[in-house]
Amino acid sequence: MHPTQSADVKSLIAVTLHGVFEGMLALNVEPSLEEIGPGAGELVVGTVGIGGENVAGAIFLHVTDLFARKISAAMLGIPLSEVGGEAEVNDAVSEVTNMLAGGVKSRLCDSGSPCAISAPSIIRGNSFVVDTAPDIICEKLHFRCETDHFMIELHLKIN
Amino acid sequence: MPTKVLSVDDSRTMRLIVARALQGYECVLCEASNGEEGLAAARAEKPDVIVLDITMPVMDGVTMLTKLKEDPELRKIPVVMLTAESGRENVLYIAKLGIRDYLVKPFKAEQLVEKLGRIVTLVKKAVAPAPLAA
Repeated sequence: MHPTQSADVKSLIAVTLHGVFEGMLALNVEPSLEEIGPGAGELVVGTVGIGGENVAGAIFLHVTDLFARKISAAMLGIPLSEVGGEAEVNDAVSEVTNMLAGGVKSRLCDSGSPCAISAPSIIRGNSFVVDTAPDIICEKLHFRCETDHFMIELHLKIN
Repeated sequence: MPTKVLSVDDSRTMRLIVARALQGYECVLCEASNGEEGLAAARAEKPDVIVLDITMPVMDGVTMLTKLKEDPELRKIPVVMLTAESGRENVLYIAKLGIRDYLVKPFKAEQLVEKLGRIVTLVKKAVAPAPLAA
């Protein structure tokens, strides 16, 4: 099945997500119906672009600043109180987003849509939306890790 | 003599993960944040093994590896590549570059130690004896 179908995109993200969070960070994640609350404060959003001859898109990982710090702590194996400044937290979120994008890219390549991924970048803010053209598949998947909620957004256009 | 490992990754987090994986072993760890710095460090330090990321600014891992293989003094240094992409094409591509092994992110510390342990000698640090009770 080509990962342009909604169910397949969801399963692709879920498999990659579990590999990253449970395999490397030892954090249990599960799908959630709840979104990140409006009072969650500043969000840290990692993004990686996906591009190829017949495919274009991007993956976004939306986390709260607190959860970003927890991710950083888990990656470095240190207590939350020892996590450094914004640069260190951004770096950890970038790396997790890169791993998620790598999983998506691998699946696209293996299913006949060769593509490359960009270097990750970080957006910080508390009131923004990512807009897309109407012909782009946009999947927003919500997850929970203990009390923290986060979202993965995948935009994909395959010609 | 401790094993000298050069870790080349633009992500400080990933470099710390590599350092943490090796902290229990008799290793000297050198670090670089892109391929250009990595080549300079390889020339200066002559590491026993290089752990090399692919996607980096300034000079990526593939370019660094290509330049490494062109240098008669550096070409024999074994390289373990780190990649976020596990797809068949990517794996075949990096395998052809002349690497010794590769590791797909996310990985566990034990996996890195196992891969490196097949290439170089990793000696566990001696555990200090517990102080005698008074």
